[in-house]
This record gives sequence, structure tokens and C-alpha cells, in this order.
Amino acid sequence: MVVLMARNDTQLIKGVLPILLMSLINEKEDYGYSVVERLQAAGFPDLVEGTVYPALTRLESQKFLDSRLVKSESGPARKYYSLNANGKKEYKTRIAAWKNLVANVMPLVGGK
Amino acid sequence: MNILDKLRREIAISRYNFWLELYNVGLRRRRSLRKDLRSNLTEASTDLGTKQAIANLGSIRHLAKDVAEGEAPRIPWMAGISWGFTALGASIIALFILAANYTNGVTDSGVSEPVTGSIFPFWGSEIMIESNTNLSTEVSSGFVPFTLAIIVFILVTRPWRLLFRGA
Repeated sequence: MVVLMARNDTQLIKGVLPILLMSLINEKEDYGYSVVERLQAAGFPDLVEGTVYPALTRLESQKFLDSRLVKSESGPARKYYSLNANGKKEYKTRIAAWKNLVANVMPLVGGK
Repeated sequence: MNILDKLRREIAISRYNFWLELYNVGLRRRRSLRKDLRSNLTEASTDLGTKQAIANLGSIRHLAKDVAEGEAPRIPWMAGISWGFTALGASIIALFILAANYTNGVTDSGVSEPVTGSIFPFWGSEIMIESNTNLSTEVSSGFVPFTLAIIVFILVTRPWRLLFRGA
């Protein structure tokens, strides 16, 4: 018997990473390492800091995220990211595009 | 975090800063990115240990490259000016060394008349030597040192990137 285990394709994940990050930050304002932890807890253990931090800074450079420094008791100030109005608009656009993609792909791969 | 771990963290941050600079990320932005990494590494070190926290960053060079790719291109004006002046200074020193050799040649030949000429490869330069009573040498540099400085400035700054900014 062949057992197929679901695994996360790295390239696929990288493609949807900005949506995942926007989604998590849309839920609540958060800082880099905490976002990594939340992603890993959500079923993406392969997403490590080296992948997530550049994606976060890119979203910030693209003016989708605002950031502010918050003092931390455990060490240096944390940089908290939040989704700004531009980011929320972009997030909605990307979610719509993702849903459209899934709707088109699923019938072809035998899904509903 | 003990001293050894702090040292590991700071070495990782220094390497990150080095590569960010090499990938042309501006000073202010680098400072912000360093702070961000320091804070995240400190958090991660508490959970995973410093070694693992640094390992999770992957290649520091790739991290810096990925981060720099999302940044707006920066024109390194100060680097351009400093390299331009360095090229100017180096070419003027070379000109004086060649002028001194030229003067030695003229004085060794025993010519009493004033001698004028130009120094290769400093096109447009002029040297005038009088050696009948007191030795006097006048040198004008021509356009080569200044042209070289401008070329170096342009090559370092690549200002045409301004045209593609935001494209």
C-alpha cells in the first residue's frame, strides 16, 4: 500500500507567503519572530526566519505594512507590523486572486 | 543571554550589515534592519538557543540579498565622490612621478635651452623645464586626471539607475 503524505512544497509556500503574512498581521499587529512562530504553529514548520523576515520587509517596502517600535522587557525593542489601508486593499485583492486560482485548479486535480 | 551568545548574535548582525551594505542598502535603513534582526534573534534565542536562532536565518548573505531586493535602489553619492577624489589624487601623483622622471632625463642630457613637452598618457598635459641656471619645472595636468575622476564617479554611482527608480 502506498501512503501519500501531504507535504508543503517550498516554492508553492513562497508564492503564497505574502498572503499568509498579511492574513496573520491583519488578525493582529505582530513582530517578526512571533509571526514565524504563528506560521509554524499553523502547519508550516519549514518556514523559518530566513524566509519570513525578507518577505516582511518587502511588504513594508511596498507600503503595505506600517511598523512601530515597542519596548520589550526581554531585550531590544520589537518592531511591530500592522496592515495599513493600502495593505488591506492589497490583501483583499490577493485573497480574491487566490480563491479564483483555487477554484480553477481544484476541478482539474479532482477536487471540488 | 550569556556573553558568548551575545557575541554570536552581534557577529551575525555584523555580517548581515556587511552584506546589506554590499547590496547597496542605505545607512538609515540598515540601522533599522539591524535593530529588527537583533530584536528577533534575541526573542528566538530565548526559545531555541542562539545557535539555532542564527541557523534558522539560513545564509546571512542570502537573507541580506532577499531583503535588499525589496528595497528602492540607492545612489551611493558619497562613495562616488570619495572614489572620484581617490582617482584624481592617484592620477596627479602618477603625473608628478612621471614629471620628475622627465625632468631628470632633461637635466641628465645637459640641455641648456628651455624644454617643453607632454607626459604620456596624460594627453593635454604640458611640462616646461628650464635648467640653464636654476632648475625650474612647470607642469599642467591637462584633462586626463579630471576626466578619470568623473568616469570613476559615474561608474561607482551609476546615476542612470535614478531613471528606473520605482519602475
